[in-house]
Amino acid sequence: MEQPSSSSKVTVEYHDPHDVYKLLAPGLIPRLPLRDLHWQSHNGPVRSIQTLHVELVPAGNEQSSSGPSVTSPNPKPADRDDGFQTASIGGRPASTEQVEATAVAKTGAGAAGKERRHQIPGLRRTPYLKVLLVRCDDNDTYKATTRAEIRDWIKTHASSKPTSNAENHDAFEWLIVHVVIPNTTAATQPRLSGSKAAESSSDPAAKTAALRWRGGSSTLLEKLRNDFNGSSKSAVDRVRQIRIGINDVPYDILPRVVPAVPTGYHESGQDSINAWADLIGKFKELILSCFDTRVSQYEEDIKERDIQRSLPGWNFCTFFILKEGLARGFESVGLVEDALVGYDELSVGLDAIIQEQAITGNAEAHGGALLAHTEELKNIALKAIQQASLGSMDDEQAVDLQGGNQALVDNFHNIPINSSKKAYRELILANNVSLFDFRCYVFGRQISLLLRLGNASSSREELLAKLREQQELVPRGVAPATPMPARTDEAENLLHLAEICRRALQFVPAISTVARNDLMSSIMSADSQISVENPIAIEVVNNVVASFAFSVAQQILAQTSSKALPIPPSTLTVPDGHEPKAAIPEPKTMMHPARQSSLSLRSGQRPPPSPVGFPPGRTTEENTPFIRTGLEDLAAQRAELYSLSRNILEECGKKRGWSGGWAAVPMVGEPGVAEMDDISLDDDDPKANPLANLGTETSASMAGLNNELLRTALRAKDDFHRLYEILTDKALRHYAVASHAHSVQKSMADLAVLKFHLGQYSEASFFFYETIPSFGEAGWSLLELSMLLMFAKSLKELRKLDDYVNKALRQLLCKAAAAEKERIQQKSLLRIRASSKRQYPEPSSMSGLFTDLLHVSSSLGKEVKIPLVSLFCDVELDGPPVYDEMQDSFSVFLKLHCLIVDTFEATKISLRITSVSGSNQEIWLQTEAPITINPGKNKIRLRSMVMVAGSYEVDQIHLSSANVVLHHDRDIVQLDVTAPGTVKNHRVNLYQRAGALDARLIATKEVHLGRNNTLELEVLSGWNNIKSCEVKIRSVTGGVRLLMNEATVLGSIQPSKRPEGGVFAFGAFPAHTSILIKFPFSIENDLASVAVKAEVSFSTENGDFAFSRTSSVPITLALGVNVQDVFKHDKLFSRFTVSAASDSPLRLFKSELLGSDMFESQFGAPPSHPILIFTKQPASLLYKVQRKPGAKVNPKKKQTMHLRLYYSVVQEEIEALLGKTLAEELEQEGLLDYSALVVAKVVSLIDGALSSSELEKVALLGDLRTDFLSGVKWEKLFPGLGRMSAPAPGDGSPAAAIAHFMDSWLKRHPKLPLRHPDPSATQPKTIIIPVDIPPITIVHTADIQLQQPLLSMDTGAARAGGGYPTVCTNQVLPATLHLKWTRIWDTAVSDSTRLTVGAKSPTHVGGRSQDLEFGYEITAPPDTWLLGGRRKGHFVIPAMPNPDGDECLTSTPETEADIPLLLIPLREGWLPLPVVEIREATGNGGLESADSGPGDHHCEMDYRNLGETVHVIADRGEVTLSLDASGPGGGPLVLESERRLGLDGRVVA
Amino acid sequence: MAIAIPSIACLGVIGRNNNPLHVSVFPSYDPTTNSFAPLRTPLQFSLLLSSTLDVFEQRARQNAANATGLTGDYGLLHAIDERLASYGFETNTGVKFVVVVDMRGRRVDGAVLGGRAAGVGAVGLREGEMKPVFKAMQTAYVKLLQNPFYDPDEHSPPTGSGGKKIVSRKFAEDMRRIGESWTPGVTAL
Repeated sequence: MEQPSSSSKVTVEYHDPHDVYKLLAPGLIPRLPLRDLHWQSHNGPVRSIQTLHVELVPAGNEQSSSGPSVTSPNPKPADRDDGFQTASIGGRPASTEQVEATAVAKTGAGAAGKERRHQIPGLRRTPYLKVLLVRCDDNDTYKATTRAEIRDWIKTHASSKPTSNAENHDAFEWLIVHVVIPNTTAATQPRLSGSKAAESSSDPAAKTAALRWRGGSSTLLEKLRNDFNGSSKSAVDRVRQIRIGINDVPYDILPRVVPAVPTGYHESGQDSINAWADLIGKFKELILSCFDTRVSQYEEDIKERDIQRSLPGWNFCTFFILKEGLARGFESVGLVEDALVGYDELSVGLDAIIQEQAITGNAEAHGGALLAHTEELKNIALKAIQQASLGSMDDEQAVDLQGGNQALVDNFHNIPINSSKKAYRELILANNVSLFDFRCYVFGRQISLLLRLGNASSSREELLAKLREQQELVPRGVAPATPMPARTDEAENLLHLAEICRRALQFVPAISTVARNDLMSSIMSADSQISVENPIAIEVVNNVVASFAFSVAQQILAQTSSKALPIPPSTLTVPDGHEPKAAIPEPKTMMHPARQSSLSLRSGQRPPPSPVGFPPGRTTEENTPFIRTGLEDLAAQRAELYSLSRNILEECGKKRGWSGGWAAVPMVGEPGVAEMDDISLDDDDPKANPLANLGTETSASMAGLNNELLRTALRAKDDFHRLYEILTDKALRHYAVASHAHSVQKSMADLAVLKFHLGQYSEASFFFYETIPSFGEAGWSLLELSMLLMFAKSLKELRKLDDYVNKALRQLLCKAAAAEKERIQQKSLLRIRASSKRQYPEPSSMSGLFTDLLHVSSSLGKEVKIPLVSLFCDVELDGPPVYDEMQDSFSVFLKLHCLIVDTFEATKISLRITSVSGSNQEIWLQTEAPITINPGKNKIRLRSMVMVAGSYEVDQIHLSSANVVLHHDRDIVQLDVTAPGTVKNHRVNLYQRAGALDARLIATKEVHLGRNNTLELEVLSGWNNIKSCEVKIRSVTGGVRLLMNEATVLGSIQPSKRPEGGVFAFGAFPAHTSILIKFPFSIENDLASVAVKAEVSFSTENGDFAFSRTSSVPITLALGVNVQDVFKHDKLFSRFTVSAASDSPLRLFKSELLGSDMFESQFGAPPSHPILIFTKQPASLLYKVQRKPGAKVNPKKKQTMHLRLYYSVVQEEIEALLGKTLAEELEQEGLLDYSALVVAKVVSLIDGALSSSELEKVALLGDLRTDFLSGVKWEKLFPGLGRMSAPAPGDGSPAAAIAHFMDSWLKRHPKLPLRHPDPSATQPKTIIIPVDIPPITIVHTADIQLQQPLLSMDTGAARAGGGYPTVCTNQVLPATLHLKWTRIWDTAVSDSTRLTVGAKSPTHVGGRSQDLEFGYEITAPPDTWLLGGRRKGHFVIPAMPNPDGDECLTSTPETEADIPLLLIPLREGWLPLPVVEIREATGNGGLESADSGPGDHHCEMDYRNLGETVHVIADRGEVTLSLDASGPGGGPLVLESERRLGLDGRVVA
Repeated sequence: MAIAIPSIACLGVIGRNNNPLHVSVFPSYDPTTNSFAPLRTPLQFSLLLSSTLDVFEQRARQNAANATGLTGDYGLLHAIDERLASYGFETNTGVKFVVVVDMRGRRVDGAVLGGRAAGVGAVGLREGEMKPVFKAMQTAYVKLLQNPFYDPDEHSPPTGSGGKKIVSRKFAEDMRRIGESWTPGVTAL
């Protein structure tokens, strides 16, 4: 248990017949207070009392305060007891309470109570200990007089020991102190006659033992003990001796005569100290035992009384006094907490009693009735009413009134809670107390106890002062034995101080109610004329109660102020500059007027904290110990008290029409269901109350406002605001210390609003700036909006335009819009339910702000950007784009819900849509003229002259007005479509209408493989009468270079100026005409298709338009061609294999091999029908190529031939067919506008839908089944087309119409005939493939000819079979090998003219100008032919004399070789002729193959006999065989055979 | 004799993130004009509610430290002035109910007056008097939570700041009923 430094006191009465107190005092006083007492209560733990102050009261002088009061010589200022010390009931007029006397005198009961001993005494302030100071100088005197005197004294004072239980309330102990004066006999005596060793006074047994043994010559002390200590064993030792040192005795008292018999005893210093300690110990012991007796007695009594509670006649007041007695007993010995518990129990008991009484209505039955009203309150109220009713009350009168009743008013209102203000206890005892008084008293006692516990400076100072006074009374000139205890600046217990504040916070509302009731009943009882309903009375009551509550708060604040509470300096010091200080009431006196009386002691050391400026007392702040415990608590509670005071003030001010500004704060409508309809609960018509008007007039009455501070503040508006601000600021700073963030915010908000109200905008904006964000974050939007509004106004007043716009207005508007949005959403929610007729407050306070924003921002340098979604909601595109008739423009409708309450004009609204397909196509749509935006829903038409078909999403919206730009940018990562801030319905689909300007990219129909391919761009003007036009073409495929320099414009309309860099400018051209631009391109690598973007900007009379289209054209070849060449001596056969390159079959109409300068070609009869070429079935075309006669090899002459093929791709035919039929029928259906769109869509479906086999089928069967289109959901394919102007089937949308059309079209056309295209009508596609004739240096021709006439068996028959001779085996066939050659295919350009061409093989080029040596070899399988003649040989082809000439091109008979051969067939059968090989003879003499070999001259050999055979038969006419196995090897034996031909050469078998 | 008895001046529900969920303001009787009018503006009530949050925090800390106060009834939070006082209750989920009581917000004729009410008139309000109010508010709030369309996270997002207000009409009506029907001594609402 924490033991605070005690400030408790017990009374010790001393009897001083010999006037020795003054001698004793110097030694005694410094040893007080008593320290370290330990009391064991019978039902609790040991309580320690650290210090116990002892009040020494001389006996017998109670009756007169003017007597030589030693104990209480306090100067009069302190005589007004103020609750910081225990009050007394009678018996002790030392603190004469004049006030009390005057107050009590009226009741007449108080005086009686002084004398009368009530049957239930409270804990009276009777002494705990009676001390008799005896001076007895020698044994003789003792025997003669002193002993009798002491006996008398004991009889009169001390012997009235326990006679009855009641007396135990006043139980006391007594003690005899023998004061020994120096130079007396007594002084020479030893303390005890026994041995010095037994001198130890702490051992009474030893003493008594000594006494017995040395009975005869006992000392005075022993005698005293013998006589008065009683004889029983349990007797308490009640005698002590103190020897006064010679120096401590004034000279005049000191006896001159030294006793004759010196015993030689000398008192040592140690003895003296021991003696004193013994005395003090005895004091403690006796006081505690006495206390114990008393407490037990009280507790018994209380128990007894409590049991009787339910008996009739039981009186709470008497019970209260009894129980309080105990509490006071505790208090007086320093057990403050026990005392507090007692009071708390009493307080609860009081409440219970009151409640019981109220319920049963029978006061007497339950503890006795309390007075209905309090006299003082009644007087005050009546006076105030009188005053107020008399009419206007000026300040003079008020002062007079106060002067007259100063004591009363001050007493009541400045220190309202003071347990010693009145003779409360007597009143209670007399059952003559009002509830108000009762409660005030209990609370006052609680507070004072808590203050003691809290070691509050107020209570501590007081006690210390008393202590000091006591010490100062010690006779001058006598040095105090012990130094005066230093004034300890012991720490205050902040927790207890906080507890005080907490209790006060609960007490104030409660006591207010009580006071109100009290006042009401007193008014009623006093004057029947004044009704309770009288507004004056009501007003007065209000005033009195308010001022009382205010006073209580102020008092508690004053009492709990602590130096340990570091309150930061006021923020209000900032605006000091322009506030006239003179006009401000001096805050010091204002704040704590009560100080003058009771707290004057402190004023020097601790002036009340001044709200303005740095309080002087704070300079010592560094020295004060920083106590953390309870600091926040105390600060918080004090802050609450300040707030309480502030709120009371505010309420009072409200009646005068002054406010802290909140009343005037604009409200911004907030969402929520908080708005309540005010339902009048009373049936009275307000007009029926005639006093209503009167009430408003008199409501400003000051009557009854008795707190001076409150009064001052309410005298003038400025003062009111001043005090309001001070209090709020104090609360704020306390809250800050308590780290109550929300409350700090609240206080700041209060201050901000006040400043705003007062027009001090700079401070207001400071506070607003501090507070607004925190309110906003936590969602207190109602507060936030209102404060933002004020913030904005302040900034505007301050001309801080930038801040005004950017910090305040913007935020304000956004927040307001957000609130509005929420409201709208809520509305829409509620719409589902029963129709709500709730009216939202019209946010009129917001009006004008946006226009203001526009106005102010125009003066700012830079644009003010605000997100669009913060001021608008429900941003959406209303429906699909709308296309203008006969014009290439379109519009979309943007729907916005404007959350701004003002109507304003938007100078421009623009919207950007970007393509979803990944290309960076962006289209801006804009309004044409400024548009007025109204609050609520707006529909804005945005128009664009740019037409690029495709699918788009809304990307940006800009709404600009003046210098303000409201912008919306689509968040790329925004995935959640429903998230706020997205534009609903944000997809836009644009399509190309059939009548609009169009630019079509066409791959040219003539493909020339040898040259750069070309593309054609056709610009169709559509319905536009174009005045001027610019076409810009650029490639969008990488690796494609458009050769714009070679571009040509076909047709009659030619560019107005020279095309440059792909830009073609044209002049006017009328509607429905077209321009065709043809341009080649080159590609760096193989590409499947080429995409080209055409941008057309043109102007018509309707304005400037732009068109852009990116189209892609496939450039892969539809067919592949292979060629195989066969060289002959004078002609070349080329076979071309044409195959389809894609899945689609081809139709080949015609082919021609175009001759060149050197060559010409011949083809057989062309087929009558076009040839169908399938993927796996290529066509073969054979051409005969001959060198043109007379054509010389000349670099200038073109040798390359070109194969031109006329073909069509079946898939394209199908596409064209579908497109044509669909377009025709769409036009009939009135869907012309969509034909391009539909056709494109359908065509795009073909790719996936028709497989290669299907295409083959189509090609073979010649008709197209349309069922592959039947499963398509047409309506889904055409989203966002807008509305039809004409009525249409389905839901009226074009998509439905198209779907309907397609379905019916498919039904009508299950098959479409795919006719053979007529090549003459539609120009088929052509491809020109350059065909090079490979240069061959030499073409040899080898020919083996059997010599004729051949001796043949059956010439006729043999020849008829196959033209081949039939010979016999072993028949010698003479033959000739004929070798000839030609150089006509050597078309390579000689290196003399064209070096580069022949760089690959220099020898090749030089072949013409040198002799070439070749070797031939005839080989045959050895079992087939037997060859005779030159089987191998070399021959030389002479060089051409003139390489470029024509001579010696071909072998002449002279240069041809005929080599004779003999061939003998060795086998029967069809034998191929021997093989001839011709190779170029290399340098090393070997032979190389004729048609291969690197570094070789290219030569071909045409071997004419390839495939020729000779029929060989056996040369037998007849054969005779023997069939027995007599032949060689067991076979048949040929006996005889006869040859067919009787040839010369006979071969014997 | 007409006696002024306490009435509820304002009911506030504050969410876990210290954001206002609901505020109902009730008019008080004004004897001078014999009419009913709210004592403060809604803004001031909002401000008062917001400043109670400190006390909530403090009490919650104390309760946690002492392991007491399991009911969440924090009793008197503020004595705003001699007339208004705020009482608080905190649920397990951190939703706070605040009742601002006007000590003489209603006028009742003495004859009609119930015993307990008179007792309150005599000695002021006891802490226990607010229990039925909090209980009723909690019941209403629980009912609200049972509504499948009410998403508590929307009103007190787990992110820790802000939150929407309660827009339920039923809840508002409940609050209103509680606020209007409470008188001292009522044990169930």
